Amino acid sequence: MLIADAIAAPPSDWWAIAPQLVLGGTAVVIILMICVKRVDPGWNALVAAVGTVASGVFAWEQWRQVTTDANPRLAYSGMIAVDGFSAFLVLVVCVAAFLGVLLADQYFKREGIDRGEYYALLLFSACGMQFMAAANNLVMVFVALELLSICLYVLSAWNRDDSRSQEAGAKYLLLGAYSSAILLFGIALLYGGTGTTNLARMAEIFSENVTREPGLVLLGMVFVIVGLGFKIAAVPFHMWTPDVYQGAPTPVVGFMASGAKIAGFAGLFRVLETGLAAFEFDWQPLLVGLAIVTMLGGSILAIAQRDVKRMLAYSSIAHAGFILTGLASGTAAGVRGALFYLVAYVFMIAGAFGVVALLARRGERYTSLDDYRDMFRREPVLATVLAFFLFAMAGIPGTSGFVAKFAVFTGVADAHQWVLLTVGTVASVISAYFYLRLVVYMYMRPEVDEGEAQPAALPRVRWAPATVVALVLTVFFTIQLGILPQGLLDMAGKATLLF
Amino acid sequence: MVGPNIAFWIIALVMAYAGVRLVTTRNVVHAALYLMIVLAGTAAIFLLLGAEFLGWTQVLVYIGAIVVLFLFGVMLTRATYGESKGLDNDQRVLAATVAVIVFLVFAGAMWKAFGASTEIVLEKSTTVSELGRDLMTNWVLPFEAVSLVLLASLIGAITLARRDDPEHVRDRGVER
Amino acid sequence: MDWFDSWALSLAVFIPVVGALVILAIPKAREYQIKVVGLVASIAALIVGIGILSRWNWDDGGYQFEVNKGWLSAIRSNYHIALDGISLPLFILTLVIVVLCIIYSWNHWPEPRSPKMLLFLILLLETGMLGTFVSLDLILFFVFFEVTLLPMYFIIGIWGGEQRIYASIKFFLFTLFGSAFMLVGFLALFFLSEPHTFDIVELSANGGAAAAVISSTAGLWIFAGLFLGFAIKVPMFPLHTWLPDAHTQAPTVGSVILAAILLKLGTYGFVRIALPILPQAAHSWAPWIGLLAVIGIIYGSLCCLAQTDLKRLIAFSSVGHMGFVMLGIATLTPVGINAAIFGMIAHGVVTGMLFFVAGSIHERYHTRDMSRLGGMLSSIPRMGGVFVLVAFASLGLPALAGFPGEFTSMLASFEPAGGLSQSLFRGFMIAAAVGTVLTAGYMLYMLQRVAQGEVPGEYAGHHLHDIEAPEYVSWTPLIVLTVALGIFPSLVFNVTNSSVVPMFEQIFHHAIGG
Repeated sequence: MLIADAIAAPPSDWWAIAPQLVLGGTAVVIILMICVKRVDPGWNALVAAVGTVASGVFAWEQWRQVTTDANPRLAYSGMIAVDGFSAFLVLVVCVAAFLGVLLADQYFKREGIDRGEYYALLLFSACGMQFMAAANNLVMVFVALELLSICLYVLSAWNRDDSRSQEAGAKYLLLGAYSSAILLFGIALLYGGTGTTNLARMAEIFSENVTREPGLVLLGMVFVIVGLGFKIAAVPFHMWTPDVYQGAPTPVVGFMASGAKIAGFAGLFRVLETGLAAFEFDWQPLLVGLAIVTMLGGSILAIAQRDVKRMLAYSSIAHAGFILTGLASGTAAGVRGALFYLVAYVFMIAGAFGVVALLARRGERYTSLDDYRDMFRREPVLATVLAFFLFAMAGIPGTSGFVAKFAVFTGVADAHQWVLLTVGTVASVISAYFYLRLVVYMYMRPEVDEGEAQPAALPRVRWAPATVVALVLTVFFTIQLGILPQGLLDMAGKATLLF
Repeated sequence: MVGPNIAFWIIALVMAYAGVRLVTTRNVVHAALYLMIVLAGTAAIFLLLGAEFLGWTQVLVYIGAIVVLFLFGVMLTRATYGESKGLDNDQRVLAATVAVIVFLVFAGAMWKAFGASTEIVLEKSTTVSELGRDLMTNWVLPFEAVSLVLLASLIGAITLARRDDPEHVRDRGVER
Repeated sequence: MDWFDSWALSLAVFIPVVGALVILAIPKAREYQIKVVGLVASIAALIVGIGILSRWNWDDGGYQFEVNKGWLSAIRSNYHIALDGISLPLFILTLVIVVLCIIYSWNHWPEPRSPKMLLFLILLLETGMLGTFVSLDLILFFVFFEVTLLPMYFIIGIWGGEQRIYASIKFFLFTLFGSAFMLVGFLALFFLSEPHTFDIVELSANGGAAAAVISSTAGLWIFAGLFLGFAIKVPMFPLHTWLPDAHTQAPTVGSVILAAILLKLGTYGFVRIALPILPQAAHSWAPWIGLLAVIGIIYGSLCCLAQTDLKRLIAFSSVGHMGFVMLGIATLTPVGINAAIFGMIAHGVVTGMLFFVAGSIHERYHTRDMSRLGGMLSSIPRMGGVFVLVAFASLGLPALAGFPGEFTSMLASFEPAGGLSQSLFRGFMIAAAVGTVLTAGYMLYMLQRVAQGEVPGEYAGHHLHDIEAPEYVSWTPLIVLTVALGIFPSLVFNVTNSSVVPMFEQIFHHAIGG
């Protein structure tokens, strides 16, 4: 029988995937633009920026719907969820992508590698991150992860003429593929243990307690945590991070550091909090351990770095640890704090890498600590902005970084996990040291020690309008979320409740 | 169910042997061929389990495409055809230990989960038409997302590999 | 004037930061405008402070000018600010000292010269300090407490001496380390209290309740966390090592603000937070605090004797003076707390003044090495006279500001709170008395080397100018206060006592049994 009876097309829930559709569609439009006529990639950037904003509008509408009517729903046979959690993180991805686009244009023009395809790939990647935020099925998790990762591999290697960039792309590809394989193994084991890849269904199975054998599920759980641990760069799965962050073009790093972490955490939260909620007592200690080594490892290793991009890479590892503590606390307050932290982190890290990209100059020559010597005298505005982001990352009150750390620690204290809380606060003090050191170099060390090279005399950094917009936005929100964080805290709180 | 069991054990033993030879041989072409045996064995097991579509996909994709790709790679690069010391290294003991441990962990977990049931439970045999229907209804979203993955990889590969067309390279003012 | 009652504190706290932002907007070249804006902002805040004084109800020991608005409802932290007799003197002192610092700087800016940045930081610092003294919410307190950290870090790190980077990072990390534990303590207080709250007033009421809300073991641990945070700031004996470095390296105004106000944040924290909220734990820890306090007194004095650097000597004398303050607190009696607050004010005035003079000396002699100084009384007699006066005040001469606080503090340790070992505290008293003798010793030794004697040969030919106009303006109020507080200690004691006594009745009544 060659002709089967007609397949009834499933009803399409366009609203559920509207933000993703817009991003993917914009990416295709950009490709078509390039095919028809090569224009200045700035136009591609403009289209991409408009696309992310449009996607954000749809995400906001989703958010408004699920929070006001309080009707989270599953769509496409339970493949994705449309709830507070997904809408919130989809929105955050839009922000990260928007900043990524804004910061890219000037940099790539300066480096002479501005190709419009960059924006298409960035949007594809963001689209994958959004799918990840909404994924309610392990297969969806995997596909979304591949979509976002493959684009990031390419973006890391974007500077074809720079061996550092090539190396970064290759390393990221190899270790990323490795971690994907581990994740896939975990998914297979979970499927073997439950007979489903749907996370909501999985939770039902566990609540009915008809699981054949927890051993398989536990093994799968560990593999999934390890696989996603690579993506969020948790110690001991962080080895790729410093090399990739150091080598990849800086705007890519800014986007990668924020977006890939959002996606990794989204997947981790969803899998553990929805699918494996019944195994909370098994995964919680794992996460506590992971959080402790990640916070301490990231903070301590960062001290040894003399390259600013590398240092920020380790700092982002430490941030992953702080975000993990929110999840490890196992409390609603902790998850809320972690979600808040992700947003604050997006602004801080995008801003910091944005400034570093400007100060590195053409060819990314100036990224070592010594190049930042006396930066305040040479580039007062940029140095101050960078110092501001550094203090925010160190968690100084008045910035979003403080509220974020505080919100996470509140959850930990709520769970009465005093050891984790103490380690967290101590790690945040340790991390303050290397942030401070960069500030010292920029503000307090005009004189050059013996045997050190005088920083090169360079003309003032030029600012493109898009860069200015991005930096103003990041600074504004880092302050705003530090002083009046109430609105976002409420949003994050709703995002955790509406699972 | 004696016949399938006997068939399974024969296939499994052949696969195990091929797997060990795959990592111990010092000839890269042989290694590729052993890999083909392992993959073919996997396909055969899928067929035994009634997953005919999956089995033939395995043959098509892995044997038909990936192993052939390997062989092309060997031929197009300057890899040695014969015995090569480069295929061996000092960490084989460590690697073997890790492999054994991983095997034991997985085997243990599997055994605990399914060891008791001697029957192979096939809830339903998956035919191509059912798979296709499922793919177009329940799984349509990941299916479409995969097309995005492919598109993105394609674009990425092209942009990384292609040299800029000189006439499109605009004059980029050197900005510091 | 209802609006004034509800807005006065917020105005006073935030006028400086508004001034700071205005300064940021003025181009660097317009130095005069920058200075005027800085001075006007600090004076405006002071005027609000005077307004508060004029409307102060001197008989009421409770909180006045109270504002309690929602802030971070998600973590149940409120914008709850008010003043009482304990915080009012410190609040006013802060307003005064900052104005004086800006006047003092008018003509001499430390190198690298940048009035814009220095004034910006000082005003930011002022907001942080004022905010800490008015906060009645733990989170708000913590935020302001930390806000003081950054400006001081920059002030030391940019305008400090040779070792400034080491000193500033040490200062920063020590304090941050302490406040990390403090924050853990705050969070523990929140989650162990029923209902969960960060409100200091409510937590204090819990602390004073007959049935302890927080178990005694937890209380001991939390107190330890808070102790670390506050004791580093004070600084108490084993945690004091950042202080001499920070003081020695900091520019003059930095040292003055650090000594006069920043150190008080720690002791104030004990009085406002640690004691009332955890009275039982405070009772258990009191002997240890007392012990560390007297070790600090003796150790600080002995270190002073060994110093050659003038500023370092004054810094170590701070360790000793703050030891008296902590001893007063450790007695857990109204007398002791009153003495402690008086000690804080007196130390702020006197040591602030000492650092001013030390800065001026350094400016004239270009050295702080006491072996190279000398003969101030003959070469610059007026400044020498001022120096002698404040040094006498610092060593605790009766009728000057240093005396009442230290004397009362020792008096309090004669009769510590019920349940504390009397003999132990009397031992502390004797040790403290020995400390006063040592203090007199090093102060006189210092005077002998710096003020008396001949002008050293290397300065013989130079003309050293005596006190200048900005110095007159900025020093006169402090000198007046030094004398006034010594002669009329009731100026401060009356205010503090009105709040300390009710606090004790409410809080320590059950905890220590009266």
